[in-house]
Amino acid sequence: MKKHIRTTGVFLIIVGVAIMVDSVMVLKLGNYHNPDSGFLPFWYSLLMVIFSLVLVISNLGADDRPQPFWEPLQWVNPLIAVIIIGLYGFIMEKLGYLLATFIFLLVWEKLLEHEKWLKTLVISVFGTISLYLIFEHMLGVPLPAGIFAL
Amino acid sequence: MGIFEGLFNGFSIALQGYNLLFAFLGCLLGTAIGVLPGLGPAATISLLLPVVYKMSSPATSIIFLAGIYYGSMYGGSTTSILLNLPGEAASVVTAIDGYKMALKGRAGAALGIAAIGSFIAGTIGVIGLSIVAPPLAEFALRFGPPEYFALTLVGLLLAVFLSGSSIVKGLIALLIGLLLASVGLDPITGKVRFAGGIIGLQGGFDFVTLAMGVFGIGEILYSLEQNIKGEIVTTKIGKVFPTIKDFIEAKWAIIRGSLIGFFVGILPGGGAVIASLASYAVEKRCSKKPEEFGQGAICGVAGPESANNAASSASFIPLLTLGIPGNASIAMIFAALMIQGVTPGPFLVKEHADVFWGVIASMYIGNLMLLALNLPLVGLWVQLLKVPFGILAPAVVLFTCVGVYSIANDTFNIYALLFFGLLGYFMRKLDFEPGPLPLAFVLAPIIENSLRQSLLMSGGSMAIFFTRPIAATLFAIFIALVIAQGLQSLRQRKRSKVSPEMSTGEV
Repeated sequence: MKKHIRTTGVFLIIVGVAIMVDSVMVLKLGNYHNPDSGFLPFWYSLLMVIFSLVLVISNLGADDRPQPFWEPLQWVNPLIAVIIIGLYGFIMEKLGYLLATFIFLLVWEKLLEHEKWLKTLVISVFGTISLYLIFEHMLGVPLPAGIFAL
Repeated sequence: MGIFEGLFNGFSIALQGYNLLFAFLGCLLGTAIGVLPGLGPAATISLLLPVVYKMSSPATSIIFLAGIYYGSMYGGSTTSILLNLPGEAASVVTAIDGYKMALKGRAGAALGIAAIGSFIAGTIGVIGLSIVAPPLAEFALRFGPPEYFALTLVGLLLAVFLSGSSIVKGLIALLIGLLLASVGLDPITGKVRFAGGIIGLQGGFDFVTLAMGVFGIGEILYSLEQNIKGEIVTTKIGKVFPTIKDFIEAKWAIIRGSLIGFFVGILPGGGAVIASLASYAVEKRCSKKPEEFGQGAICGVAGPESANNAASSASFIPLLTLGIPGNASIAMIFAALMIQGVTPGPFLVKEHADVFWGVIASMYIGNLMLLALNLPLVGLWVQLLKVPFGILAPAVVLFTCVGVYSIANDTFNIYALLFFGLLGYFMRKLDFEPGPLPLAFVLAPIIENSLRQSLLMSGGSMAIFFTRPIAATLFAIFIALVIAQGLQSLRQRKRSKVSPEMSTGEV
């Protein structure tokens, strides 16, 4: 764990320094009488860099029980989910809510839950329709019609 | 308006059919998510924030969301006792003795005393809230920008110190929240900060998207790693009404738990989790038979369960009177009020008396509803655990995606959601408590505006924070907290160097 925490700390220091530079060079700090846009972000990022440094220093040394960040293949399911959600955002406006949600559930149940085809189809159809009824009719949220608008 | 007049007015609002229905729905949903491990009250309220956009009355929406919050405290005990699986963090200590009681065939008595203790504590909490909130709001009218700046800093610091996990990590989470809040248009200078040319970022991140991502999607991604399969419940529940003897044994634990919960709940940063931990420690110390703790002591269930309920009512006090949310769930309710165009703070009692008293009165009713929902129906709630994760997870993901899309009818929010989901996921993996992040995000505009206004008032002199009595007192508390925490960390460090096997390894 110590190694992962150290890496996180170093990453946060780099991000923090970048924000500090941006705050000073682009946004400007202003003065105490009239602080400019970069004033508070500069102080926030400076503190973040300091605390990240403390985090790195307090996690120096070898791990008592070294463990990998992910067990073998443990990252696969979260990655698949991230890709599915990203693609869902991409296709929702193009294909419309109904088709996009149906595809989302089909892919999720098949790839992540490894359900049989019949169960996958039933969940996808019922899931799409029930969420449609909740959003469009109960909550009055306008959903993108996509190709069904034609 | 006096307390009795206010409460009378509140009941006339809370007893309207529509409000009763939403109080009931909130309690029902709260109990359900309290039972289900994984989805906590903060995540659920964030999932429902888009629904709040569609509700016309601010009082109804807060009655609904508050019901979820205190309802989850009731539900959380059920799985702790029956399965040793705390449905939410505030019931972790309940599992210690509650599960042992269940193993000895006394699950019914444990569930019963938890529900009755919760009811008594919830009611004591609400009575305290009705009494303390109006004078505190009156006092807070004297607060100007320097006082708000100091108060917000103390609140955030306490939230980190009391969160229970590593302090340095908590402070980093807090600063990430503050930095994320500074993305977008600066309201004072009109400059766009850190948008990187992305149009969707120019207006800044949306709190609903952040909360749903960090709590909802982050939790789902983390759970997907572990391949959760539905568990089958075999524990027999038996009678849910504790015997008179149980009740006599637990009565002081309930009273003590309620008082501890109430006072911890008022503190910014103090919430149900700390209240339940504190109550367990006190009960163990007060008990004539401390050896029974960990082996199925009824006071070990009654105390913490009472404390978490009293704390959840009390944590509305800083929100409704000062406009400062003390924990992540209350931060969501803060956001819901803002969505409805109601600014929480000392003016709430006067300007939106319907919201203030309506919500308080609904809590009295909600506690009664929860008692009815939890005692006879406990068997039904346990069945909920049979809902497979394979259906729950995609439903939550779709709900969040469509929810954030509906905020601005823009798919950009779905990508932002994904970003926050990944942030929440990595925070969980690296043991960063996510709570301070949304809290800081919500409070960032108060910090920035009050600091800038204070400096304008003083002509750029920082002395303004130390010359006004209330602000100076708050800053003295702030400094005392930092010093106390620093000394404690040093002492822990020394002790862990002396006996490395005792060290927890956290800063």
